[in-house]
Amino acid sequence: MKKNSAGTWRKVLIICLWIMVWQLASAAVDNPIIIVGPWEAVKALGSLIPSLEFWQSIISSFGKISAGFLMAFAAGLALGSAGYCFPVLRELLEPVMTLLKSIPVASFVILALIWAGSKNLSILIAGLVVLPMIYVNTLAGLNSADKKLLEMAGVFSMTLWKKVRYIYVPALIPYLMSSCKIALGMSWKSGVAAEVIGVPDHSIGEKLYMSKIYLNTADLFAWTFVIIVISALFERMVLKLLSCLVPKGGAHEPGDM
Amino acid sequence: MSLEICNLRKSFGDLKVLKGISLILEEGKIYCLMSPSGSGKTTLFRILLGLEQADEGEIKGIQGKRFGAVFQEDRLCEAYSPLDNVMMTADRCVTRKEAQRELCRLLPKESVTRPVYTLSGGMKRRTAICRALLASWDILIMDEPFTGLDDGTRQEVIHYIHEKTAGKLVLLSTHQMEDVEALGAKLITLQESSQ
Repeated sequence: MKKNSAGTWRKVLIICLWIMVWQLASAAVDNPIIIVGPWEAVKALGSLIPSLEFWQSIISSFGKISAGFLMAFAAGLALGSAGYCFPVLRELLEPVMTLLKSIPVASFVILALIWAGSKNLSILIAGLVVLPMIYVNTLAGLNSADKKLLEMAGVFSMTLWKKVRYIYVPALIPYLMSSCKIALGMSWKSGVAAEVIGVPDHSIGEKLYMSKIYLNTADLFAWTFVIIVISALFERMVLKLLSCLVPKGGAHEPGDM
Repeated sequence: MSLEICNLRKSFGDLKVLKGISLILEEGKIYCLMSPSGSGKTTLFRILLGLEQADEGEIKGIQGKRFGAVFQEDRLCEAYSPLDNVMMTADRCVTRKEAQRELCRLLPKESVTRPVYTLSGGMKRRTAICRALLASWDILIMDEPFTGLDDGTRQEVIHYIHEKTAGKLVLLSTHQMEDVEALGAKLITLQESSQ
């Protein structure tokens, strides 16, 4: 308990130190267009919070980016599982996934703008970024399932449902959790980047774009802070849900098995 | 109905593990396989369980038979309790309550619902034995089932195996002559069974 509170204090002190560095940097530069201090950013956030547009933008962007993430998560899981069962499908999907992983987000965004317009751009972009990550980790997780346990399951004629629940899911969850940690952050980064390029109405990306146009760095910092908070909350929620799928002690980091 | 193993051969590369094993195993009897380590006991068991293919030979009377097994390693789902592990493979007619009662005969009551990774090696072994005995099987294969058990526990487990396998075919491997006597089993050695 004492160790925990010492650790928390340590973290708080480290954050305070970096805020001080930020304040000193803004004071040294002394130009609110290049960099604003923490107090100006907080003031900008304070002025944004009461407005309806602020909440509309958050709900709209959160809804679209999380929908893109969840759809890609479901598709990656389904395709990864199918690829594990059918090697032909895995071979067929391999070049597609490699392509999705290597194409720059900006190219995707411009193509998607042409194909789908700006309204649902962030759903598509967040999804395309997340899909290959979840697919690859689903395959890796299923391949890491303990072969000796699978032999045991075969000898005892365990049903497919029991094999999935007791052998495959515990093997898969650590891989999904570590890929989700990266994919969730990436979905927000790419989703907001897509909004900045597509500038859909009532979106966080639109607000960031406007901050750029009006050289309003304080608003830019305030919106960036909002994105970090929403992304962190969403990540915690998804990881908590995933960890509920295995009993305590059942999840190990990839490579433990 | 008996199980007849005829001239079974298996090699891994240049290493000849089974050199023409022939055995007749009768239903309702317990057979103890005693041979030095590395003589092919586990390979024979794996072939019987359908986990390896023999290079040559034939096994008669195996079609349609259900197997139960205690593997050389415990092969338990570590994050789940002994009760969950038993219920994963238990016969459909075995209820959770019955499984719990059976486990309590071999394990301390408080350990039955704890995750397996918190149990001692001996407790895990007894869980693996209980899991095999409560599954539905016609032939039971046990690869060194008494490893890690002290003398007192070993006697309890032998008594339990006796009770649960009555009238069925059991093939197990051990290194202790006392186990053969306590089980009232027929002793077989792989050297004698090889042609």
